[in-house]
Amino acid sequence: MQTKNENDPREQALADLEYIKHLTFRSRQYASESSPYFILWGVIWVIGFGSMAFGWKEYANWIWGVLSVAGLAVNFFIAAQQEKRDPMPRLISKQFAKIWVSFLVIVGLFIVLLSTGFLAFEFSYIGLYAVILIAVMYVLLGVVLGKQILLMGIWLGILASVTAIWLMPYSSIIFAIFGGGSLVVTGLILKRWRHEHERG
Amino acid sequence: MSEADLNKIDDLIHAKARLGIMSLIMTYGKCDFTFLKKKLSLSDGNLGTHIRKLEEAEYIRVEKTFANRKPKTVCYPTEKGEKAYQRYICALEDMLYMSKGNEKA
Repeated sequence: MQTKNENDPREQALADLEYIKHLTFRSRQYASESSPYFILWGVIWVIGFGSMAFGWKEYANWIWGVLSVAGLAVNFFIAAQQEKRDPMPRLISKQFAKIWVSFLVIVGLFIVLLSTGFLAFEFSYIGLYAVILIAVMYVLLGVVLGKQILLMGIWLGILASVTAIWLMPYSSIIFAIFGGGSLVVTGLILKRWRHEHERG
Repeated sequence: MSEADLNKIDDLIHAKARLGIMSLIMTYGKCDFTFLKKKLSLSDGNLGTHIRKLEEAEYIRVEKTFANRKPKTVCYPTEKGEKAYQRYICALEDMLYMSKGNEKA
């Protein structure tokens, strides 16, 4: 190993550790890598909630069904491409697995509350519940992926709360413009940020 | 720092390129040849030689497959390799700890 003083074991050990850190440190900008997902799901929200806001509620099942399947397919394709290009460290993969299990537990509890009547269920509430669950998912993912994702989760949580308390009749248009819109804008900012990071 | 402490340093891992290979394989769980080459900025021949040394020492397991008709070499850590790497890190920590103690004395 190249060191300042090769005879000094401490210098040598420090140089080794520095080299290991340099190679394995989480230098990947996970938040910026998530830009395509933000844009994808932002566009889906704008189309899905937008179509409900413009009165196509009778087709809502079909619209959301098609959008969800298409969104998941594109989502998995992007994830596979990213993994191929730059694999994820073991530790992060393990943390991800724990986060998805935690999220599934939360979704399961949500379903139990809905099916037992502890949580009110109406067709018009589906969008609100979906936004709440996605806010929870972003907050959980933010623990591993960084503060940008965490902040998005907090923002969606605030948006869902304000809508539920004061603006429920306008929920579809709010989630389309402010929910979907903020996802798209964040995705574009992160994309630009990534390009700047790669250049500089 | 006694000679015994220095002897704890595993020469097979200590070479910069092999330390890099082991660190990346331990971090990612598995690494293909192209990924290692990119991360470590080594030539094909140089990387191949270091991989072979680690494989001969049974520190890593090498799998050669084909992906889209192109040969693909993937390296995995073995149990022996994982233990050796952990011992190496502990030895580095000991070296730092001991030299810090010597400074105080």
